[in-house]
Amino acid sequence: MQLLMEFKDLTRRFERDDYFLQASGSLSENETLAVRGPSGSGKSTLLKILARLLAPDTGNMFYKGEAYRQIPPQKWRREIQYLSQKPVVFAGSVQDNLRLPFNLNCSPPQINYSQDQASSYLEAVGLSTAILPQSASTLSGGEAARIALIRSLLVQPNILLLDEPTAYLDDSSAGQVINLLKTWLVEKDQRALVIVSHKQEDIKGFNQVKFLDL
Amino acid sequence: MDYSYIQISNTQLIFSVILVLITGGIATLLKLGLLKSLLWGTIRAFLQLTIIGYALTFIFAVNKLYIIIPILLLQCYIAARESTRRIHKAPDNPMLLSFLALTASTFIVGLIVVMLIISPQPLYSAQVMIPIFGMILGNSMNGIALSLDRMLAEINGHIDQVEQLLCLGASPWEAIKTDMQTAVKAGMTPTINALMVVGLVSLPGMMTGQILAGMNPHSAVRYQFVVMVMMTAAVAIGCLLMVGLYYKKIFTDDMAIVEQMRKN
Repeated sequence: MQLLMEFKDLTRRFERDDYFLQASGSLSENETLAVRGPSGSGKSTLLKILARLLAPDTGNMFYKGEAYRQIPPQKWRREIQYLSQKPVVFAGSVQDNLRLPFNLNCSPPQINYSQDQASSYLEAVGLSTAILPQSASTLSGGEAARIALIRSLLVQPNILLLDEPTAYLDDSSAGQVINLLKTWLVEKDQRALVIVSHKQEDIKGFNQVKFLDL
Repeated sequence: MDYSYIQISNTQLIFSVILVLITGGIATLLKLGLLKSLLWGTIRAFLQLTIIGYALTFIFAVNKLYIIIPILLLQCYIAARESTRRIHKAPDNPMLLSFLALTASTFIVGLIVVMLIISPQPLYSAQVMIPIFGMILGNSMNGIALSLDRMLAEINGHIDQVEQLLCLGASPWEAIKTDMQTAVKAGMTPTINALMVVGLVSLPGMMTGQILAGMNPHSAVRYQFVVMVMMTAAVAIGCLLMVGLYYKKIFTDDMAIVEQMRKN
């Protein structure tokens, strides 16, 4: 199995108290890394560091053997997609939201929007294509969370960094999302998942799971 | 009709103190705690205007570029400092960029107005340049302060969206484009509103001053129109330059939002 990502001795000091995050880990293809720890232990911070939205105080990160400083941040973030706990949708329709990454100037020409793929993902998470013309601002939290996930999947990342992906979902929808992620993970080589979740059920379904306790 | 200039004598000037007394009376009656500031403000205004009156008389008489240009730059510096001093926790110090934006917008618009529209003889007349550039600066300063403040507030309020756009592959500019548009719009709105109501709600200061100084209202109106469009253009250029130059300070070399924005 190819090693996809590695992070060594990452640290970041928190403003409050004297607490600071310390983490090392690695991720091979088709693997899931489950990040665990009590509230405030820095799980979300770690995901943001891995997405390069926050800088670590010390330590290094490698993607496919290359140090993160050698990889342009836009390329890094496209291939290592981060999804925040609070789902983010933008003004416009659901369709506009799904197409958004493909309308950006730096959108890689080899990745195009696929309506078939979008429809298939929508179906997998229990949403109908009838939702596409709907204004994104009218979506419920659970719908927005699933649309945000589908938008990230359509970008065809290699690694997904998911912060509580089922936090806004009922049990049935949560199960559908986890099933989709399981399928996505093994569908192709060179895919891996980092997940922060308080729900045991979210982690159970994955085959090759590693744990990182903070 | 005779449009003659009515001079205000020293005695008449003293009568204006009545107006300060009225304001002071209101401040005392309502216990606003503004009496000291009002008195100090009145004294300062009188002294500053008296000094500037003498200074301008001297500068207009000498009328040399090597005096005019440093004065204009000094005005730009003071305006830049004022436009950014109430903006706290801004990443990096925006003062220098504000100075550049103000200087560029003021000189671009000011030179067009002075050289092409008013065309005094000689072209670098201090009597024309200093008041015109000053009016431009005053408005650009407000526009820049408004747009900078709005830009920071918008980005701060939309950090999740900005970061999600970055994650989807957006460049920093693409990630905050909507916030930038809102910021420039916020800076320009007061000037555009002023364009809508000029002459209907109020007669602007410059036009009023010219009419009181004896100018034919038709001529005063022409000047006022030029001044209004000049201020609109300067505010637009100034706001655009300011947000365009400053937005990069919001991001790290790694194209992530700087720490300071999260602490606001």
